[in-house]
Amino acid sequence: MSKSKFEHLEKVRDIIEACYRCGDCRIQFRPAVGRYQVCPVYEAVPGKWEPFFARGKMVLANGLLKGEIKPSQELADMIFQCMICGSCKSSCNVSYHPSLPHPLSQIMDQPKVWEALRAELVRAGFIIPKHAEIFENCERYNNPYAEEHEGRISWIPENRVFPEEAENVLFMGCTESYRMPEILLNIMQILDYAQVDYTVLGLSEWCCGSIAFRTGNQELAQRLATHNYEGFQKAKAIRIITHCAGCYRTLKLDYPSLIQEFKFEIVHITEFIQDLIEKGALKLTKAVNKKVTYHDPCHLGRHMQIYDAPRYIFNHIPGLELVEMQRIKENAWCCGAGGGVKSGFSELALDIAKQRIKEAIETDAETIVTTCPFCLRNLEDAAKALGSECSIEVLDFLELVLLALEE
Amino acid sequence: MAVFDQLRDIVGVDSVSNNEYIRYAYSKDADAVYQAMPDYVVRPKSAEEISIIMQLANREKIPIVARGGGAGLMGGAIAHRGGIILDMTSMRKIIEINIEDQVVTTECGITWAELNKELFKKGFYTGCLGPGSGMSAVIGGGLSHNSVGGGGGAKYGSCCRHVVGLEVVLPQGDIINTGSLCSKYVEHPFSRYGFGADYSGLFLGDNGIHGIKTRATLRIYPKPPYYAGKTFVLKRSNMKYGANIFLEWLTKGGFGIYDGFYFPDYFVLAMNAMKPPTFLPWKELKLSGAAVFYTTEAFSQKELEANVENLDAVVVKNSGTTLGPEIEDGNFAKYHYEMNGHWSFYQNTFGLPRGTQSLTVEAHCPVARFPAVLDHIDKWAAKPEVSESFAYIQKTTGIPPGTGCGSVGLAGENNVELAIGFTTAIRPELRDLNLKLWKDQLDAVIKAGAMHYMLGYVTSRQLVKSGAFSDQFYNFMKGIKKMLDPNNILSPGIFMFEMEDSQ
Repeated sequence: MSKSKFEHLEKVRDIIEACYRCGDCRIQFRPAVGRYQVCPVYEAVPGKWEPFFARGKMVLANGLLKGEIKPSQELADMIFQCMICGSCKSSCNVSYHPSLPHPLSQIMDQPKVWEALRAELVRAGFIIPKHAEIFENCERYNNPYAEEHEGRISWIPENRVFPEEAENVLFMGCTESYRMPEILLNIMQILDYAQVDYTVLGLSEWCCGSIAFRTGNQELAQRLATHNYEGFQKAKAIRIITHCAGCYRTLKLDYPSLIQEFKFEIVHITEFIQDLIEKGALKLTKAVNKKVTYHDPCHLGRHMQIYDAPRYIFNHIPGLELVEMQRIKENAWCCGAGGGVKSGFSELALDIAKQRIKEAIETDAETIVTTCPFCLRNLEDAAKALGSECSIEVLDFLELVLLALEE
Repeated sequence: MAVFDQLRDIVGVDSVSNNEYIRYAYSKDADAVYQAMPDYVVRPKSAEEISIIMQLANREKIPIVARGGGAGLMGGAIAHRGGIILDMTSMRKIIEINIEDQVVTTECGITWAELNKELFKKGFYTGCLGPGSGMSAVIGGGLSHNSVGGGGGAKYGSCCRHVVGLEVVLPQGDIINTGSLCSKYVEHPFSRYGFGADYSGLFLGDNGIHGIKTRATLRIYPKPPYYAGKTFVLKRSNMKYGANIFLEWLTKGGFGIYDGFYFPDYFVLAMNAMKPPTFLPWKELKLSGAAVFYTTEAFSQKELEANVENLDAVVVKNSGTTLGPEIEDGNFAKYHYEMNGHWSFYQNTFGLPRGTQSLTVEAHCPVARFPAVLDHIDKWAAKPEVSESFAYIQKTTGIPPGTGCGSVGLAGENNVELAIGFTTAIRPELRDLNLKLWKDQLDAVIKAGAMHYMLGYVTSRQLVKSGAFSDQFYNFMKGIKKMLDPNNILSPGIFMFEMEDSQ
């Protein structure tokens, strides 16, 4: 069997060839396990063609390997309309019972294929214009938002000095630093309350590279990862805490694949807070009389299997009632923001987020809570766009933790 | 006006494409061998749109292939002669669930799973839950293939049995209703028969050659609230014990049996040899004999208990031993029914082992004859040219092909569905050899007197090549096709009706 010129696709050839095109990634209804539909993009786009769900993309990837089609901007415009949410992976060849581990489910990893496809397209020069801007911003400002690098630490109160070294490093994240600084202030308040010894990398922190990993710029991703790795080393970190689900996935899964020596413990803030509650360092005693529903971020849930930590926290907030949406955990409906869709195809991202907000409204909850700034932002945008149709507020989970914190 | 522009005027700009990548993505279905690019892909929204497309296709002599979920295993959803692929999945509205008359009318692009999800809410179901790929397969595809295997085969048989009427767009563009709705005085469909011949039957199991089914009215059934499922291992590997069990169950009235499956001992061993094993409890139990499982339904606990007692007695009499009640105990039946796993069961047996795909030759035969048919297939596998081909595939890929019968499932009408086929490495350089072996095995099954049902491209043509039809019957088929579709635009190639092919 002759090899193609597509290095990235060659690495995932096994996965591409293992797909036998049953089409279960197009649509599924399996009430017994809470699975209602598969692909948010397929459901949202007006032309529901095969390339807008996993099977069609797999056929195209195979076509590239066989040399029957060529990369182009037209192809890029299709392939990039995907959040890489992983719903196709979680519904592929899964028998929904641990006693039935389908052999293919051990190797099928659609997100890996989508990333390889994107890497090939970018390498061939076929880039979504907005992504090209983001790449340039990351090169120039170390963040995707074209904000001056110095602004990364402008959220830090004047009198607050972080040590140069600490066991725990809070990875601030670009979205939190430049767009949602209140999240970082909330984390600071909680960690201070629990007397956690931690620091931040300050201006040594660059974008984690999640956007570059997801949108096919492997070179940029490598540079950003290497830089941050050096920062963590310098800070003598043992543990890195993230709030952003995208940063979490990138640090925990992507960095070790690029940097062999990367051995830090990566912890999401929900896991960290759960641990603090369990140890008694964080006492959530004040009643928060709210009915909330929880949106599982894809990068935290399907990509990293963290479903329980957020729910543990909600269950430890007195007075809080958690009502679940129809699609949760591995079956959760993506918010529509990830994989470069928010920047590259903003209308699509908004349409998908509106669906999620409507699903949340159906629970009769007053609040939809999430644990990722990117989901938060897109859900907020959708809630705003829905206007009077929207009867639900969107909150970061830390707001609830702070409300419940014992004085 | 160019064909593309005409199509765009009919369905709107969002519903037609001649984009290279979109066409390429439709060049494959779930079979592992065939591939062909359509010139256009269209997503119609109504029978009226399809009617106008048919007229256009006749004017321009453009082939049309209707495609549902694209889950077919026989190359039936591919544009072998180019032309138009009609992607029917936009047409997925449920028109009416009529509990009083116990029928549902739906557009044919909805999946079996989606339709049944809505029916379950009302305590009903379609009985036969369609094909084994019913999670992605649509109603139209299931009816075109007379499918079975998605659940309920033992009790309800294959899906065409439950059709009350159809709305069909004929190849020249006429839109007709079959069943009671063919009378303009009937408001709601209630019966398939009574206004002449069974014209619905012309379009059932037709593999898409006589018309495009746009709506179907299906009988629905109250879903019994009680069920039980049990799994057994048989001490004796001889398949006649499996056949005896099935026959005795059926002869004594069925005892509410919803599904009944027999797994030959070699298939159980193969499942256990996979890495990871297909079903962990069987591996842990070191199960080595043939396995049997059933699910039975009832409307009361008392009825259920009686069913179980009677069904069990038959299995025990035929050397069966019950496995424990839970899935973890090896009770595959519980998973099959309770986890709503009807549709995932078949999918899970494809792609085993890694690096391979299955070329299926599934067929039906009477219960009593299945050991003889499978014996015939074993003899096919032992033919020197087949063994040599398998050895060549193993030598060149490192992957040994495997053949046999995965499962034997009760399929109604005293028949079983035999999941026969062979698993092989899929490589471009092996395409011709795999195709040859596939056709050869189809020929063996045809000559063993079994009956294929999902024919698609490969099997419909093999039936002709194997001389299955008498000249008179084949002429009769051709005559009907010619009358309905004089320009042979609908799924050309199936049954080799073109003169140059059929000689």
